[in-house]
Amino acid sequence: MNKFGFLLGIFTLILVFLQFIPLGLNFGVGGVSSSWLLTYFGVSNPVLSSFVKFPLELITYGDRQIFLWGMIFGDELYLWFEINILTFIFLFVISILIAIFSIIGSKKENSIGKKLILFSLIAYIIIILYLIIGIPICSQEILGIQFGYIDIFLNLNYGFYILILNCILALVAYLKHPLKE
Amino acid sequence: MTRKLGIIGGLIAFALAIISEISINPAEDWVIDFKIFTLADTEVYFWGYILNENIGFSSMLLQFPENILALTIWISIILIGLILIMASTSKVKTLNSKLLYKISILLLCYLFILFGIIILIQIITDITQVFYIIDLGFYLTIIVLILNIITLKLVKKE
Repeated sequence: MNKFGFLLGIFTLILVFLQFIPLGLNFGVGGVSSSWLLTYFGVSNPVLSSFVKFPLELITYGDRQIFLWGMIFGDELYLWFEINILTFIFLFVISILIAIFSIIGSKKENSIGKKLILFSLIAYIIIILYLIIGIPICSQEILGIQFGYIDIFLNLNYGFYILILNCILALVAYLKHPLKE
Repeated sequence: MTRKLGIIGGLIAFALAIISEISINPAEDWVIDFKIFTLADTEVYFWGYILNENIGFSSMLLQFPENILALTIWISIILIGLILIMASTSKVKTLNSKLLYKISILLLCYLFILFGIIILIQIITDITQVFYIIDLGFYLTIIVLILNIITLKLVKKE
């Protein structure tokens, strides 16, 4: 089993489904760990609350918080397929595919598994390039505000750095993938 | 061969990294608290602080570069958990495991030195206060270190 590939899948799932990492968990009291899961699927959390919320947003620009799954603007929550289909495909659909392929690929110790991990690596590079090049180009259509190329680098948040770490993890997983003859 | 002690150590390290307390019996107020030490009204954990028993705060949420120390502490304990679990599973090369356990011990020593200095500064006038200040989280970190050393010795025997 490719442990790096498995970790990559888990980290990707965290980035796709959570709004923040709850820290200081307090068992016994309910709380919310993902607003979009609560809004769209009614998934709430009856047994856990947290004292600190470690942010997972990719970019914070004024009161806009941009995630892999969508955007929070003020108190309103929007998924990418409501805002822009291209961004929905590039950020959400590809991320889900990365999570699935890296978990399946980590279990397969053959060339197919290695190809699945390679897909995750390439997909991560595409997501990062889309974020730093694609979003500033179409920022008016996607976010309703004009982004400069430099502005995006001034407003990056922890989610983006985790994305880069995941990309490095995908590279390591690809290079270390065990092959059984 | 799976090394159970290493995996237990890793799980404890993960618990220290994210949990504040687990209620066993809320009616009787039986709680397992993972705090490392207490200073006046501030309870210190690996992930941050709780002020006056109800306000949570973490220096990781501050702007760069104020967040670096808190981030290194939190990432260190997460890494210790990851390393202990990953190096203790079956099919890991013994040499790799040995190296990973040594890295984990180094990270634990770093955490002990850091928190040791902070605690020492607080009790410099009265050393006997140390047992009133430190809490379960600190003892659990010592247990993680002991488990780590035992697992390293077992690997060396292999």
